[in-house]
Amino acid sequence: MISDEALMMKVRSGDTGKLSLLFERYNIPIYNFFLKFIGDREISQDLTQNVFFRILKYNHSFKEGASFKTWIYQIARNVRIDHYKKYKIYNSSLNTDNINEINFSENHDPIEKSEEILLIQKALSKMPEDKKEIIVLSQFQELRYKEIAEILNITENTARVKVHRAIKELSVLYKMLV
Amino acid sequence: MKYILKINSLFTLIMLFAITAFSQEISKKSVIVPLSKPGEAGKLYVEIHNGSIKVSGYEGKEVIVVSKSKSLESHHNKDKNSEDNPPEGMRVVGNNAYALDIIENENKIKVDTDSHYSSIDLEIQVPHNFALYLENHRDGDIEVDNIKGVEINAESHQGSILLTNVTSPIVADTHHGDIIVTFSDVSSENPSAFNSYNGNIDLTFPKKGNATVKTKSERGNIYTDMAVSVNDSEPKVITKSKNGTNYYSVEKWNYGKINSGGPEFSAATSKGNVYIRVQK
Amino acid sequence: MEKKDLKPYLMEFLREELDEETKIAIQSQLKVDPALQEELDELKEVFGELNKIPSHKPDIALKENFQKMMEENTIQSPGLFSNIQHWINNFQITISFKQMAYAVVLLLVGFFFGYNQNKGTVNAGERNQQLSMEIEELRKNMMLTLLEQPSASERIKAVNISYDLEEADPKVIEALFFTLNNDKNSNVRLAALEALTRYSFNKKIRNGLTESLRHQDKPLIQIALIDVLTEMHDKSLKKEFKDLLQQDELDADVKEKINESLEILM
Repeated sequence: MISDEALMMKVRSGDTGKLSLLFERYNIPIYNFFLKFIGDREISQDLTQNVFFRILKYNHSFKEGASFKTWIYQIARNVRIDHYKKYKIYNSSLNTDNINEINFSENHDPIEKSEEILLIQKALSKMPEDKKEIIVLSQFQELRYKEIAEILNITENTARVKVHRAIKELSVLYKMLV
Repeated sequence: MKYILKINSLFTLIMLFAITAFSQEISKKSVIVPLSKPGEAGKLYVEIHNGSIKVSGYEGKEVIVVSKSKSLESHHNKDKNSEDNPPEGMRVVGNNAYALDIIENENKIKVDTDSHYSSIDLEIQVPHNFALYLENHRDGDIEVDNIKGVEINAESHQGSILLTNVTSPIVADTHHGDIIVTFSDVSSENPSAFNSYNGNIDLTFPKKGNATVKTKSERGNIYTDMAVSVNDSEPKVITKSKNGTNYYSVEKWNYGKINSGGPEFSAATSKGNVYIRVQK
Repeated sequence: MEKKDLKPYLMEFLREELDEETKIAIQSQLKVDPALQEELDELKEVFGELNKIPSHKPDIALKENFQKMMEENTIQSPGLFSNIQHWINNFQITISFKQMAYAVVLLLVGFFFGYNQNKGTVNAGERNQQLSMEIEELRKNMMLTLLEQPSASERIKAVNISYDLEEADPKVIEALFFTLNNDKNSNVRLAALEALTRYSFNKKIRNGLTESLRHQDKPLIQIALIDVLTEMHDKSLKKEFKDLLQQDELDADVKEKINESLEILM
């Protein structure tokens, strides 16, 4: 399998068709990255599309030797921040009444409707934006500390401590709800 | 309450503090940050929401960060949810605490806080050759003195920006405050820019400095010293044309030269005045 | 004895991502330290809960839109100058303006010699024209590279270089818009706005500026944009401005400015 980076370097040098392969590899995780924050499927799809659009448009800013994975998450982050700016919903995040409705409206799997999940999602939605982000990156996207550190432009150790603190806070919030 | 912390590490040094600051309680911390490359140039990045930032250059080889904080009860949204009354035996780990993160990496120092509710006043001492990137999202002034030969960026919203004994290039803006700068040297070839909406911009140049100044005030006045030669010709009308249609707009900038002219210093304000002075 | 805090490593422990040494340290500490064990159990529980939150698949529309985007993007074969731009881009951020200027001079000298030797028959007029085109191209590339500099002052300088360009190159316009909408520094964004104002006779640029109003959150820039837009006397702006007035957190100064502008546009 050709590495993400090699594909991206081809895109950069004009072979833009190679972006399709990268799209196949990343569209689902990036879509879920947005969905965890925004909760709305359509907006999350638009933002995912926007990420690939930016990759195409600003392909020259991908630096040789950089990791594609962290780069795409950096772009996704910027897209998300721009989206928030646009709608002025900075730290208010989602209110908990919405999240139930949005995330569960299209679920047909009965397990997903169980009480507990509702609580953990509720707890997650009460987290401040920056801590929620770190949980989404480390838990749902299964990124390693080294990658999180690169995406957030902090050191690996800071990332480790921040994830630890965020998880700790989430578990306290969760217990308060149980 | 005062701690002095000194940690040495070859490459990276991370210090994390989480201080629980109850309402109105003031806590003060002092941290000495040793540098990976003592004596060499470095960069300082500071980003806070509320509070003042004061940075001074000094003859030292470390960076000293003193922070004072008190939480702002008025900003706290009390009826938001039940977090103010945790169940018995539980505690809230997020809301009332503020964290000040200081990271040193290869002489680059980043100081930031994730708190929106506390007001944090920072006083930081750095070696003279530290480039500064200072940002304050809401209230509080930014003050800098004795920094040489590096770039300074400062952004505030409510506060004023006061830079004394500094060198170009400088890029600064604030919405409500004044920008007051006294240069000790303006020989860098890079441009400087200053912007305020409601405040004054007051720049003082060294006697022998060469500079081109570009000024604009929509509702205020522009004042200059005798030593500034002002290009007081009629405002230029710029013609833009496309497909036979002409569009006109009037150049709003005033240009002036200090000594023989040089790198560009632009200063713009809407409601304040602009003052351009040359040291006597 | 000083011990490193093992708690932050527990997540990697659970995911089996740790190096052998830390792993063994945690395993042995767990046996004697009930608090750490408790922490681990707590983590397991939270992770277990988090894992139950499902991932979703995007619908087919996403892929269709992506393919449409790819089709619209005409593929350009990389020519000589895009190679030079690559070469310049690869220098990334360490290059200083002075070094850049030297590089430009050296390149120009190189071109000059090249033409003298290979194309001795080309007349002087053509040669000069070609040369000025190349200077223009290099200026453009210099500007695009400088815009990526970490220094705000360098980026303002980059924006100022655009004033020396005679033609409104799409790449330059795009870079100026990107700067206007994304640059961290307000002064750089304002400089980009001013540079773009020169092209405001162009409908596309006007639309871009109108669109930009929605991206800006700093009153200083919102006001400057409103000023520029008002000067264009485009009646369609009235709706745009009125929409902006509806925003809750709108700065008082911005509000005042919009009301003034609406009077002008009447």
